[in-house]
Amino acid sequence: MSGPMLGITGILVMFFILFVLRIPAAFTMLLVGFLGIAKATSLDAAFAMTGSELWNIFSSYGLTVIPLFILVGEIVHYAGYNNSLYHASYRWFGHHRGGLAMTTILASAAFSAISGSNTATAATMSAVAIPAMKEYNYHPLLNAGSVAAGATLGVLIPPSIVLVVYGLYTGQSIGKLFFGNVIPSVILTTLILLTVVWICRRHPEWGPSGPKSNWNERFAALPEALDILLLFGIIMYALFTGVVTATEAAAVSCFLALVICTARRKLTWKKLGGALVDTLRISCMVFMIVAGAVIFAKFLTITRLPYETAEWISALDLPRWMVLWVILLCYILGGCIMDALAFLLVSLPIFYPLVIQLGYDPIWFGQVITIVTTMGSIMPPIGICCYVVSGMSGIPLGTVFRSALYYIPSYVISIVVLMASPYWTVLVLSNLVK
Amino acid sequence: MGIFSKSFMVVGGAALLLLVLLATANVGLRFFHAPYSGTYELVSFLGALVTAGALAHTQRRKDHIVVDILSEKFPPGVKRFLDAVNYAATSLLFGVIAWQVWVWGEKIKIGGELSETLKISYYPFVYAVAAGFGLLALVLLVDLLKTMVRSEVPR
Repeated sequence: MSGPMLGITGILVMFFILFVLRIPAAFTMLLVGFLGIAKATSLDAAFAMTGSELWNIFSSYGLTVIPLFILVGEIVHYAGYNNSLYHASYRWFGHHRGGLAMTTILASAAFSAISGSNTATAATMSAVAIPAMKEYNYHPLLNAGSVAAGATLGVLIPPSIVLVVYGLYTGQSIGKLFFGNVIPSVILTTLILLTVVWICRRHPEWGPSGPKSNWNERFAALPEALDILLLFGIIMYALFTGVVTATEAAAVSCFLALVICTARRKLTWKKLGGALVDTLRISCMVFMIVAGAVIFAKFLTITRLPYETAEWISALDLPRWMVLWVILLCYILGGCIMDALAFLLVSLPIFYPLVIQLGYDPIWFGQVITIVTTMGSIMPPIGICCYVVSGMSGIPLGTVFRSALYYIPSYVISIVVLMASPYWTVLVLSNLVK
Repeated sequence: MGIFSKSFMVVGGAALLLLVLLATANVGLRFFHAPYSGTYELVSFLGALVTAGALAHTQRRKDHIVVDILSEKFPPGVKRFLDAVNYAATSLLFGVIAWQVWVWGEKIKIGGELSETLKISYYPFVYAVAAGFGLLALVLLVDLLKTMVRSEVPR
């Protein structure tokens, strides 16, 4: 069997195992990657590589940023900040038609500025927002969708785990990636909000307006939201100046989150324990996906499949925007059948060199695929955010998926806008970072 | 099994808190132009403990994402058989990984390899990661036995 053929066989075997044996994606990539390397080289070589490679991944300084950014989000979550964020935005926007759904999205966006994962955001916002929306007789298609779409912002808005992993994998600066992400985040959040407005205009009975708050109540709700803004500001400032590494910025924000939450008497030992346990579990999942993808990508590199594919596609001589859309389509389809982060990592060795060869900016490309990957988390059949929302709220999975479909155009439009002007959407800010 | 995976979690959690304090302290020291050069290495080693500590518990909680759009339609008997294959394969895989990481640690120990800045022998951390994988393999082995013994329909 030729090298590239072995690579393709490996990919097919991986999908077979994924679908039939119910082995988690992370483990499947490890298993197939290991066996593939053994087949392409020798069993001894595969053994030797596994030991050293896994130790290298586990003890990577760059990757320690992952548990730290997850921990900040979890501390803030266990301290009950999501509740106060929700009530603060409710005071300001709750009296509009569909105001609670908008509140949900704004609170998710605010929470995402501290949390790097979409499942954490989906879980916390389901617990807070769905009961409130049920109370005001919101239609399930509006309330489930707004929580699921809002939660995807967790992956997009910095600190974002997907951007961190992308940055480490491609050697791009995490500070630049985070800053380049600010405008795309604003664009997507705005479009999601406009979707709510549009839905409420078409179905006014889906999102009745709530009572209006007076100005005293509005300002009284702000201080706790300012805590979050402060933490976000510190993370971004530290990364902007470049005086600290991303890991240090994350560690300092964990420390400050601990100090603020203790000072406000929001954190008990029990809550801290809960935050730590959840952080360990989530980062273990992310690390195993990274480990599996790294081993699988090693196998693909040995088979020369990435190289041959890139050659083949550039020989087609298509216009570059068309190649880019083909790649994005692969990500959308890949995101539908596989964990988005896993697919991103497995496919980067194939697509990243190609995109760079086409002359696209790596920081800009990072934003585009993060949005695409994010969209995968609300698309059927394995959109993880919808599973979490359905699991937490008891709303049937089918309804949640249907409600999330309303928001898909927002993602597509965001990507088109980013393509229209890479400079004004991404580079204008990322170029400022040293 | 629970007591082992929980004590590993405690180690992981303690390593995480220590990591926060260490990296924060180093930022503080840098303000006074006296950063501790060993931080980089210590943070990496602690990071390894964080993930390794969580491996077994995460599997016990069945947190890893599986794709079951196709397999949920299989009859219960087939499902049980496939689950048994799943646990046997992954248990073996992580057994091999634990063994190979341990071998890697042994190489470092025998070769007397020291870390770059602190000049410490860091093989115990490698052994700890191997132990984490070993415990994960055991958890999967217990899952395999449960699938084979239990008569009710699995998850």
